[in-house]
Amino acid sequence: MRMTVRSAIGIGALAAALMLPGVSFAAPATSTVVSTASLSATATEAIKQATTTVRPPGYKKPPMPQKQSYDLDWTLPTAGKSGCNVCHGDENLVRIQDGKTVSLYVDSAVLQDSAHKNVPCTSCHVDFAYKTPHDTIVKNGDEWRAVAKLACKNCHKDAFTLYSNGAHSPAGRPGDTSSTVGAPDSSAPGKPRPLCGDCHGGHAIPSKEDTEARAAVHASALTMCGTCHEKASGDYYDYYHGDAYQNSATDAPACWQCHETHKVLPAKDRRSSVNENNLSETCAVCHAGADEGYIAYAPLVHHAEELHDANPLKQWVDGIIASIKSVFNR
Amino acid sequence: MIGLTQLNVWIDVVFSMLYIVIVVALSGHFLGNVLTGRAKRRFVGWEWPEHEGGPIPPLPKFLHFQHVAAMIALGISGMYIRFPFFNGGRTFMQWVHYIAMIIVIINLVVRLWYAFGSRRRDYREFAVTKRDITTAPKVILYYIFVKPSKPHLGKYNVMQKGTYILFVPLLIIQAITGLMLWRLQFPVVDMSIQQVVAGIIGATGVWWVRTTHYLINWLFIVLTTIHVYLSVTEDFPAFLDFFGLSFLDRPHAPHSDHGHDDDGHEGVPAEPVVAVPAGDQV
Repeated sequence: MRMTVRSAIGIGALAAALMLPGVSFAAPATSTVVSTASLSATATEAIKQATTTVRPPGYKKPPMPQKQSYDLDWTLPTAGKSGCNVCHGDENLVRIQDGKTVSLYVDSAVLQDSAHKNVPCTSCHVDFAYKTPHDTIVKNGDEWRAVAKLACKNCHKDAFTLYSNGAHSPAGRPGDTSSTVGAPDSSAPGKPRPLCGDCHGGHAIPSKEDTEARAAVHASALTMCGTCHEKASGDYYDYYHGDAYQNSATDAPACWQCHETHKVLPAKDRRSSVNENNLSETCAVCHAGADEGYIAYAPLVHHAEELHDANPLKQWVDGIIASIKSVFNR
Repeated sequence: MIGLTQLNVWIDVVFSMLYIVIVVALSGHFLGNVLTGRAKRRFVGWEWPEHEGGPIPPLPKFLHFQHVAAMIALGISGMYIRFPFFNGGRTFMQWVHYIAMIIVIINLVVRLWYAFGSRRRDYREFAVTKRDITTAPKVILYYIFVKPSKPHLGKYNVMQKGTYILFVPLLIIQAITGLMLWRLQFPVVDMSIQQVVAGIIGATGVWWVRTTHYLINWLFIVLTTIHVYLSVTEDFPAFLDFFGLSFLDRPHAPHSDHGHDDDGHEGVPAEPVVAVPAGDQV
């Protein structure tokens, strides 16, 4: 994979990181991420400025540890986030992957507002903790990304257990695309089964205590689930549920309020919250006293258009309208 | 027994189509007014029926004005709650519905007191008499252009009386069902009336309450549409007067399609009456 860090400031920051106590980069590691041949004159100047640090009088360079390995050193700044953000805090940090420019920028402000503001980067990016990041892990396709997206399980064990028992679970095998593709008869045919991060996002995971963020998550269901479940999200527009939800009603249910959050199962699965055996219980969460008679409403939730189209009176009127149109179209 | 799903679909299909039919029918009726010359006589010649009794007192006028505004707000916000037809504003629409509901309920109580308990006690104006029933066919024939004039029956004809009388129980049922569906979470007890009702009659029971509320809503929409159309086309000065716009009225010409023919001599033009502005009627 060809990788080029374009940002001059990023390079400067990377160079500055080299000056941090306890950090020493081996020459080969930096040479793989920096292609100086592609740098412009301005960028070169910026690097010069960044590396030519003005030291106060009497400054003594901290002693560098002798023969300290690259892998071990990397964990020190990473644990405090400042290490990773020295480079990844630069919004111009990008790389070229398969002909596309991919941003490697991580917004510190977003991290700070997230539920994980006190979690070190390497708690999720576990494979970056004890290995050289830029010449081995990153080169291995998207595996490092899959590791990060599944790292939630290390803390959120209950949620991961539920997820593992649901239809979304790839059985914890990141990168195994052959087993993570939705079956043709599923509601998301051909789509990869999502890892935690695919639904919850990465660095901007909101805190449960953040009311606004909770509302934003509630409002995001058609993006979150609809990206794969296109038909189900497109069909979701019955009166008080889907239609209201699609028009930003905060009291209308998001997908997971009926389909569960982590233990998502197809409706035909007896364990599913939307299986007919469990529907009255699911509906009763909002509709107190929902019984077997009440769940007769359920088909409308995702099939309102089909049911309206099947109505004999509507079909009759539609037929008349079509006949009239055909007369004028002759 | 028809399921909740099918009933929902049938209600939507039937009433949305019925409303289109009614709008088309009223448009056709107005075309009939134009073709028969009634529209020209009324809106150009300014021939309108004269009323018995004095001018409409301020209180019923005020109640009517409030009632119209609140019912329009209820209709729009209620339909929005069921069919959200624009993005956002659900909470606002719910509050519009709640406030308009309270206004209509208070109006209803005051109007019933005015009709039965006040000094004026105007309930007799709405009472259907034997004469109303015997003349009903003639009123209908007049409206469908079979007869050129309608019987003179005092303030309201039998169809008006029937509609207004029907409004009272419908409003009472609508108020009760509306309160049963009220989802406002009351402080302290941290419960809504709907939650209490659901605990008693279950979610299916609440659904039937909602369906009843929705059906009556359609009846109001249909009846109000017809009422507005007829009040404009049959008695525009009274329409203006009810909204405080009687200054737009002008002296009426003798009306020729109001034959005072309750003795059966329909079609006989009325005797010319002295033109009096609606606000000064005696």
